[in-house]
Amino acid sequence: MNQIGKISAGQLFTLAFLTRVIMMLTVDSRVAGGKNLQDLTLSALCYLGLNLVLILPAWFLHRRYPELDLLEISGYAFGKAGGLIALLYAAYFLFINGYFLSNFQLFMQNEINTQVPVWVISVALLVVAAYGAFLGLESIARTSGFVLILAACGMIFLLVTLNQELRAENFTPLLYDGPGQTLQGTLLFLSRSSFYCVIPFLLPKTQGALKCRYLFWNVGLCLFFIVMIVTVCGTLGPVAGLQNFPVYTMAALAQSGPFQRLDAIYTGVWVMGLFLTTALDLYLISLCISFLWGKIAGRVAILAGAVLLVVGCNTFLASGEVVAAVFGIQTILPATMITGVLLPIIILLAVRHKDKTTQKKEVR
Amino acid sequence: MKGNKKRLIITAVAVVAAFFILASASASGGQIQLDDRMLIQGIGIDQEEDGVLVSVHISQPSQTQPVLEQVKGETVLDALDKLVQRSGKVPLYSHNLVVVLGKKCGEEGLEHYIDFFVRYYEARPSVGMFLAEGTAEEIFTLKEGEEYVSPEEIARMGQGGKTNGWTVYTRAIDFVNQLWGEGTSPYMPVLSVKEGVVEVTGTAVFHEDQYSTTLTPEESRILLVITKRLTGGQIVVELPEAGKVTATIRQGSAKVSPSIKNQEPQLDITITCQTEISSTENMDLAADEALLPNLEQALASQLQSSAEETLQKTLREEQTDPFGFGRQIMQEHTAWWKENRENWEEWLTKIPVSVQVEMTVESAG
Repeated sequence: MNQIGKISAGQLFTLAFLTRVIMMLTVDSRVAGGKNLQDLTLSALCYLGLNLVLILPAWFLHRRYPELDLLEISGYAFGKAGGLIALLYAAYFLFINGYFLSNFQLFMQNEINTQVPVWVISVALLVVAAYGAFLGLESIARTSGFVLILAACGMIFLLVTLNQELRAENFTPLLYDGPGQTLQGTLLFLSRSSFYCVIPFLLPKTQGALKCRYLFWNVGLCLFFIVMIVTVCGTLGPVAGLQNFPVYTMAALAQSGPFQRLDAIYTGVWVMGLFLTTALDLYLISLCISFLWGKIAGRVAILAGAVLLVVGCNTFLASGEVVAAVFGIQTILPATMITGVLLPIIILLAVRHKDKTTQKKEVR
Repeated sequence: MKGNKKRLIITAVAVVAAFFILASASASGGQIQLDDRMLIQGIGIDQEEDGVLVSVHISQPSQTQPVLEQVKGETVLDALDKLVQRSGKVPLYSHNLVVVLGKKCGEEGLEHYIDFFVRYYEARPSVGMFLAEGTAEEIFTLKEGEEYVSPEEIARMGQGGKTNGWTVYTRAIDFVNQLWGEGTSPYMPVLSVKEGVVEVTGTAVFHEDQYSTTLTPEESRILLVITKRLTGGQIVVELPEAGKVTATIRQGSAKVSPSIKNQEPQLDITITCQTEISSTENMDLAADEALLPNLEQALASQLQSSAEETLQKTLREEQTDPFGFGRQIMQEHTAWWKENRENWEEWLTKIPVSVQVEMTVESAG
């Protein structure tokens, strides 16, 4: 039984896994740096290794102050200036969700060409996500358990039906055009790893065997990426490099008896992952704003964040060119690394310095 | 109590918001009714002087037979858009079963005709592709009795290779992979009109995206067996002691072993087939067992001869590689391939190829 206000390690990393799934679903040759998507299997392995290292600042912070989240620690370390860190994180969560949502909208406009206006779908998604954020972390974590079952069933069905479409001649040798694409793929995965920023907030609210679950999550995620990439490449072949959403095209080829063209599974899994990511990030935005201006301001921030996302993604972020310029890897990667890795290091060093200073004063 | 009231308010707001969203979704667009849709099931494309002629079979919900429409345009999609002007209905391409391209399209180069089927969001990459011996219009306007040859029938013909052992099946995605992938030449089945009936008569092989040659059914069988797609078909041989013997192929496969010796590639191909006797001119079943060694030898000899002729025609004469030998060399001898891929067509004219055939007659029927 979890303590009130706390989630289990299993729930935390279920949430982590599902929010990372959308990273894989939206990979294409433009963002991956080349048409040999197979090299992303090596990127997944590099990403696995880097994940184990880059999480260390957040882990050391948690080990030092197991009951305090990042904002509380930064408040202790920097005093009132710690509020700036809260603002930075709130801005980052808004930014990264704008990226994920605008990507989803572009998909709906270009690949689905839905009769329903895309903004209506975004509003629906954000209303549900905001509701989840209002209910809190425990509700989001419990929902992730159900979603995992649905998503896993859908993805397994898809992969099993696609087994017959795999062709040996569709594969190209790894590193065929050199290591450039592997590097680009690794940077792409890192840039989309908003979970580095989420973890320092959630670790104090989690109980259970964290190290074990974290390792299990990482390996599971890496294996999932590799299986998806191999299936995409084996099914689509060189055509994968020509597609905007190759995983979607792959799903359109899946068939099993009367079940044909299972691209709806792809859309469903994406929506589920996006809902969880958005709900969690809106919740974290409310934590950041609450830290500065109180609980009511935090609640308002959920609505404000949702409105900003809808408005932003349907106005200046409605164009593919703008999305590519604003959310290019040259922007997202520094944002994620600074917020997710560098800031925790700075806070950790500041806290250590503060502790030493405090100890010296006490000795005197 | 206060918490419950708050929760109730939040739930009520959520319900109202959901209702608003559902209402917006329906009012703003919603579903297009089936009667307002043009269910396109087959598309035929012919090159014209000033663009393309597109022949389309459209399925109507109230009728069992497709309706034929023909439109001209500068490009395929431009022509298809003109269908909307005639009927006011919104075309639905996702149920399209076949694409038939006229011979002239093949001779000019297929890339700009098929780009629509790979790029357009609604077009499915799994649609079957065919090359017409004459024009696609001929195929689509042909009536057998009172009815057009339906796209379902044409799609079924394309999958007949599972039974007849020589019809190849090419989807749009397969063609583009063979075109864009290194070390392969694309191919697709050929449709002809013979005595008022549409049938598959061979396999068109392309040099990049331009039509190069047509393989006969026997040559197409070799293509299928070397690409490990042979699952049926009949071979007829004549033995002095038994007359004509028909053997049914149960399973056919090939092991292609490329090797590089002294910086020169060579190919060793071993074809294996399991067959069984389906009919002979001699009904003495007891004699069948004695036939087997001679029969296996005769079948192997016939298949070997056919393989050598097919390889001569495709590799040496046409400098095409529908078997994907180049791709296999790319996968297994990448360093050599990277140095020599630009000259692969030249290598096709001189690469040593050895073919071994092992036939097994598993039963006498």
